[in-house]
Amino acid sequence: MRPGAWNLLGTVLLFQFCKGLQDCVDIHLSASVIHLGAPISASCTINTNCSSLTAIATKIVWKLDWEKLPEHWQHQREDGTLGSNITLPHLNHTHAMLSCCLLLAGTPQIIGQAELQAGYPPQSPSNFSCIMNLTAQELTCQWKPGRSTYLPTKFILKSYNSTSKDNCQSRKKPIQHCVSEDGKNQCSIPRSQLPLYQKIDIWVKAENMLGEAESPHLCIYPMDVVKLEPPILQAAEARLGPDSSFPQPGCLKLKWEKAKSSKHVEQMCELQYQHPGELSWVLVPFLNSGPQHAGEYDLCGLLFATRYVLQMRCVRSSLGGQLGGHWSDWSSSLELTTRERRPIVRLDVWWRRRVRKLDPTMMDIQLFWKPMPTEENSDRIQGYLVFPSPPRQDRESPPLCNTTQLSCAFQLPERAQEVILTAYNTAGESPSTTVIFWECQGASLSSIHTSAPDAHSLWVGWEHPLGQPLPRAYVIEWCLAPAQEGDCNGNWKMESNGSSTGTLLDENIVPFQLYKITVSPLYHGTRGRPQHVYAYSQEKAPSHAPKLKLKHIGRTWAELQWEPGAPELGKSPITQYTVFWTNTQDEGFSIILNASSRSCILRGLAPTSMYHVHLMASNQVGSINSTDLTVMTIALEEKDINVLLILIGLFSVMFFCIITLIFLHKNHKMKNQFWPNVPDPAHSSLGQWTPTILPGETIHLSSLRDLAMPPVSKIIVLKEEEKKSPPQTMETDEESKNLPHLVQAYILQGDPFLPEPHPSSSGPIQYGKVMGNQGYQRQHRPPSGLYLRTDSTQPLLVDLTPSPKPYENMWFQRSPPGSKVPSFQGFPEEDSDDSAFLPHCPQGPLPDFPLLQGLRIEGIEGLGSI
Amino acid sequence: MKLPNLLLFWLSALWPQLLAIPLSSSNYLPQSFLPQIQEQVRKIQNDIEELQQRLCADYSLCHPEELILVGQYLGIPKPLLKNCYSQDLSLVACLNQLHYGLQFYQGLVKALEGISPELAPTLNILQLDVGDFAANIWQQMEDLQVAPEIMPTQGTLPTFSSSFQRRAGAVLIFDYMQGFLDMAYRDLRHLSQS
Repeated sequence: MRPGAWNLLGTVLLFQFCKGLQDCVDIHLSASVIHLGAPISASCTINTNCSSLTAIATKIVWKLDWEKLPEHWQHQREDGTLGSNITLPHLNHTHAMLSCCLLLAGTPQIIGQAELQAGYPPQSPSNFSCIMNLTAQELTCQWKPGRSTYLPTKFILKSYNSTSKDNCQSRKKPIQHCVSEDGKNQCSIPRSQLPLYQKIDIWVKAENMLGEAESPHLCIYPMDVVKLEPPILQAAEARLGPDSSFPQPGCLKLKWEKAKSSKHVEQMCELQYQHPGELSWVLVPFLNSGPQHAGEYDLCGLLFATRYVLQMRCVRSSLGGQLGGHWSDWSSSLELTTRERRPIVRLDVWWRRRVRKLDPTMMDIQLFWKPMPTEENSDRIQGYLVFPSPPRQDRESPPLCNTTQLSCAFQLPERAQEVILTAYNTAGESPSTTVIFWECQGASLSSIHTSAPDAHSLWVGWEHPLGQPLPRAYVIEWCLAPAQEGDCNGNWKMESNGSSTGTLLDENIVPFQLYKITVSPLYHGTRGRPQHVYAYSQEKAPSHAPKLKLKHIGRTWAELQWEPGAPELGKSPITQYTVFWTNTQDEGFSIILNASSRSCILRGLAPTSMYHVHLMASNQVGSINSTDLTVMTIALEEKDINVLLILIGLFSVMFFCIITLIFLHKNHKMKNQFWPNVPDPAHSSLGQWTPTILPGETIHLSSLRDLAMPPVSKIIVLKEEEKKSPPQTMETDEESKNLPHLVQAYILQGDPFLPEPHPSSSGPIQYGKVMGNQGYQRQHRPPSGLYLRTDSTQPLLVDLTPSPKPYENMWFQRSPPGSKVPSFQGFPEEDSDDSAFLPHCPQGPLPDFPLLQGLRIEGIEGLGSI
Repeated sequence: MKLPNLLLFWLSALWPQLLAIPLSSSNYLPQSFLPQIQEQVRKIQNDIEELQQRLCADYSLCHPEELILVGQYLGIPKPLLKNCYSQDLSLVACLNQLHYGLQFYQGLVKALEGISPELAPTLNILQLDVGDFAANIWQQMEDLQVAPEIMPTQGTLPTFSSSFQRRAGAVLIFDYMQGFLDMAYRDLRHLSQS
C-alpha cells in the first residue's frame, strides 16, 4: 500500500470514529447461543449515512476469531447498501468472536464483532438422592449432572409438600428452592423449610440457554432418608456382685450409645470385628437397640485372649420395618481383648524310660506330648505341668516339670508307674491327663512299610498280627538315620484310630534324608514292641562312581576291579553297575553287574588292542559314570610265556646233556672222576686189581645228578595256583574273594642233612615237601622209573662222605689196554692221565661185593635198579 | 416408667382403636403413622428434657411446682385431650384435640423466643418438632379427609413482660407439654384396657 492510501484511510477512520463507528456498522446474528455444530448466520451492514466508509471500502470480509472465513460463505448485498451476509454451516467452537471487516487497501479492518456461544442443552441429572442430616438439620441432595454443556448451567433443587396418599401426585405448597453453587452437584434445604414427617416431592432441575431437564422425582419423607450419626461403641463395664457379668471367656461385652442428635430414633445396628492379622471383617447384623438410648451386646464365639478391633453402625428402623434411612458411617474403632479360659485340650502323650546305670532304683523318664484341640477355637497354653502320681497327701507336690516345651525329662523311682500332665494359662489348668508307663507286653505289628507321596511327607503303613486284638492307638516316631535306640527325639505322632493301617507323616520331612520310622501299637493296659523301617522321601542319584582299576589283562580279556564308595546320605544304595567299553573303532559293549560286584572280566577283546572302559553306577533315582580307563590287551599271556620258557629250558637242558654225554664219552678221565672203579677188597688182590667195567656200574644220569647236587639248604618252589574258570557275568562277593592270586610262594626251610626235630625222627626223613595242586603235579609228575628218596622207606647211610675209602681207590686204577668199556659209561680211557694210579675193579659179579650183598638182602628191588 | 415410654405405650394402645373405627375405604392410615408419631414424641421429649436441664442449671428453675403463682399470673392455658378418653372414642375428635394442643404449644414455644441465646437453638428445634408433629397429625386428618376446612387458630397466647416471666413460663410450658402427652397416654391406655 502506498503511503498516500494509508493517509487517506487514517483520515477517514478518524472521521468515522469521531462520529461513532458502531453507528455505521450493524451486525446481526441468527442466534447468539446455538447447539454445538449447528449452523449460524450473521449479517454485517454499513449504514448509508456513513458514505465516507462506503466510498473507500471495496469489500466486506468475515473473520471467526483469527481465521478468515471463505468468501463463498458470504454474499454482498445488491441493493446498493454495503453489507454482507454469511452462514457458517456448523459452528464447532463453544465460544468464538465473529468479526466483520472492511477491506481497505487490501487490509481487512475490523469494524464490528459479535460473540458466538455453542453448547448442548443439559441432560437429566442422574443418581439423584437425598440424605437427611439430623446434626446439620438439613436435607442434602446430590446428583450426577451428565455430560458437559459448555454453557453456564444452573441446577435448582425443587420440592413441594405433597399428600402421602397419592404418592406426591398432588402438590400442596412449594418448599424454598435451593440453587447449587457452580461446580457443586449437591444442594441442601434447611430443616426449617422442611416438614420431616410429610411427604415431599423433590427433584433437581438443570437449566441453560439451550434448554432444561429434570432428574427423576423422589417422593419421600425426609426422615426416611435420614443418615444417623454413628453410635458410640465402648466396652461394657463389669458389674460387681454375686450376679456379676464379667464377659465369658471368648466373649466381649459391648455397649453403645446413640448419637445425641438421633437418640429419639429407633435404630438397628450392626457390628463388625476384625480377627487379628486379617483385613476382612466379620459382620454381626441385626442388633436392635429399640427406643432406648443405649444398647448392650455380648459378642461371643471369639478366640480367647485375643485382641479384636470392632466398629458399629446404625440405621433408622422400626420393628415393622416401616421406617427407612441410610446407614450411618462406621463408628470409630474400639479395640478389646477377650478373656482367657483354662485350656480345654486333649494331650497325646508318649514317653521313654530308661533305668539309670548308676542308680538302678531310679528311672530316667522322657515325656512327650502334643496338645490336640477339642474345639475349633484353640485355647492359649502358657505351659505344662507334670506331677507325680499319686499326689502327696498334702496335695502340694512340686511339679516334676514346669515347661513351655512339648517334652520334659525327669527321674522317677523305678516302681513309679504313672504321672499327671496338665496344661495351664492365666485362667487355670486344663483337665489332667494321667500318663501310665505301660510295659511292652502286647503284640507287635506284623510288618510296616513306607511310601513317599511327595518330597516332604512319608506314608507309613502297617499290618496287624492276625488273631490279635486291634490296638487302640499307634505311636509313630521318625527321625534322621542313623539314630541309636532312644535318640529319635522330637518327631512323633499318635494315630488314635486303632483300626487304621497307616498314617501320613508330614512334619519335618525333608528330601534326600534317610529316616528311621518306628511304630509302636498301644493296647488297653499295655503296648506292643516297636518296629522300625528306614525310608527316604526323595532320593538323589549317586554323586560319583567308583574308580576302575585294571587287575589283570590278557590277550583277549581284561579283568577290572573297583572299590565302591561309602554310602552317602540322601542317596539310595547302588542297585547295579554297568561297565561300558569301546574299541578304537568306536564299537561299544556293555555288561550289567549287580550291586555287590567288585570286579568284572571283559572277554572277547582283540589282542594288542586299545579299549576305553568306564563304569556306570546306578541307583533307583539315576546313574553316574566313572572316569575313563584305557586298557591295552597284550600279544602273549603269561601262561604262553611260561610254556615257551619251559620248552626253551627243556630244550636247553637236553642240549646240555647231549653235549655233556658226548664230552664224557670222549674223555675217560672225566668219566673216572665221576664214576671211579671201586675194587672189592674181599675178592681182590693187588694182582687182580684190574679195573673192569662191571655191568652194575651202569649209572644213570639221575644218580649222577644226585651225587653232584650240592647240599640244599632251601628249596623254593614256584607254583602257580590253579586257575579256575573265569567268573561269569554275575559273581558274588565270595566268588570274587576266591579269585586266584598271581603267585603264591611256599618256602621250606631247614638242612635236609640235619635230623628232624620232630620226635618221630625214626621214620623216613623227608628232604622236602612239595606242596602243589594236582594240576601242577600232573604237569610235573616225574617219570615212572625215577626213584625218589622221599618215597623210599630204606634207611639212609649215615656216613655219606664223598670222600672215597681207601679200598675204593681201585676204582681209580687204569683199565688194561684193550679191555672193552661200555660206551654208555662215558669214561674214555685215553682221556684220563690219572688212570695209571687207580686200581682196576676186581673181576666178578656185583653181588659178590659184601656191602652190596647186604643191600640186596634188605631190598632187592633197589639193587635191581642200580 | 419414663414419659416417652408411657407415650409410646399410649400410642400402641391407641392404634387398635384407631383401626377399629369405621372408616371409608379411602380413610386409611399408613402403617408408618404409628412409628412416626412415636419417633416424633420421643424427639419432643428429648428437646424438652434438654431445655429443662438448661433452665435448671443456668437459672435454678428446676421445679415447676415452685412457679405456680407465676403461672397463675401469666395465665398459661392447658389444652385437654378429653376426646381421647371416653367410651365412645372419636378418632377424629381425638386427632383434632391432639392437633390443636400441639399447635397451641407450638405457639407457646414461639412465644418463648429470646429467652436465652444458649437455649435459642434447642428452642427453635423444639418449635420445629412440635410444628412437624402438628403438621403430621393434620396431614393424616387430611388424608383421612376428616380435617376441618379451616385450620383452627392457636388462640390467645400469653405475653411475657420480663426475662424471668419468659423463663418461668418456659418451665411451666415444658411441664404442661409433658403433662399433655402423659395425660393423653394414661387416658388412652385406660381406654384400651376397658
